[in-house]
Amino acid sequence: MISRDQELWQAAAAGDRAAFHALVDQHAPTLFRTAMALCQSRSDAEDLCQETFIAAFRGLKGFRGGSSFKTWLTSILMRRAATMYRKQRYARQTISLHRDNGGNGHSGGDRDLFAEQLSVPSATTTVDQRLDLLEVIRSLAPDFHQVLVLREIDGMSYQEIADTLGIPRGTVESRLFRARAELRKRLSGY
Amino acid sequence: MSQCNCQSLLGTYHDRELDRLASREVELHVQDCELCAAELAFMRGISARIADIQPPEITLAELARIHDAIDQAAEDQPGSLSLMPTMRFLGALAASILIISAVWLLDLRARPEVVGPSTATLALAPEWEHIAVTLHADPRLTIVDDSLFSPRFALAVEWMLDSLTPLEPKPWVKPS
Repeated sequence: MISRDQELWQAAAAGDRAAFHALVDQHAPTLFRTAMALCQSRSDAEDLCQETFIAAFRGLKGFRGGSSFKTWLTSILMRRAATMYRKQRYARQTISLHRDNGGNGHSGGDRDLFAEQLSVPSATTTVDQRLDLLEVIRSLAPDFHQVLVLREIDGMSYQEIADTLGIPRGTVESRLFRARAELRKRLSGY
Repeated sequence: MSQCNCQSLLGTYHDRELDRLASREVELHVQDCELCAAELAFMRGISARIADIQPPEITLAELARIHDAIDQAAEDQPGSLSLMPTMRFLGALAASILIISAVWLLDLRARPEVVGPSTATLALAPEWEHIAVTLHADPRLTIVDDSLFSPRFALAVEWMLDSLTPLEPKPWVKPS
């Protein structure tokens, strides 16, 4: 049985632009959420989504349907995010693990709201000292960051993560284990 | 924090990626191991926090901009595609010219250096001049060698040598 995605990407590959727009409408919300977890700002996430969909549009004829369309899109997104990360590595702002009530150093209403929702009380239970969990996750090495986002935010299975990142399933397991160990280490200091 | 051998399985257990039998073993182990219980609680805490988040939705304006960007890319694509074969052809042509030129230059360098005037110049020159400029051996020796030159040529060469010889000629040294 042909899925709706398959129907749409086959039509899009045959030159039906409306079909591709329908695919964008279907996958943009999920992709944007993943992009928000990977990027420093909302505008970066939007750029990342745009680049991903344009790359998918251009490479549509090369997609053979070996994985799901969502997995394929996410793999493009991850590669683009890695490129963006490398570009921004030297220009990245210093990440502060402490957030005082003033919340200085951050901009963007939605992002602040998202960060606020991700914040957790510190291990020392000091009420006014809160950690921005998302920032801590972002501060991990890109390999760890990616698997955590795909697992915890996208809810992908190990096999889907492996397909998305083009790595063996065992590597996904070990990266997740090390990522969580690193996360625990960083969070335990606060 | 010290490690327990079972800890590497905890993440897989937490993510529900273990088979039934292994899951049961981990469950039993966690009941007795405080370290693993704490680790599992940590993982569950983080996952719960993340699951509770209301992620920012993409706005209609952002979605519209993505659609516009795709339309723009689609508009640009046909032009760029039609230019591609031409660009490839020009690139291949340039590369061919470069390779041929490089081979020709290498071949030119490998050839022995041509001494003396060109063949065309020699064809127009008088016979004595042709002999004079192409003679590699000692011309004075060849003059007396009748087997090589006719007397007429020998006289011509002698006349030429007389007129070309400097006022104070240096002694000729036979090349080694």
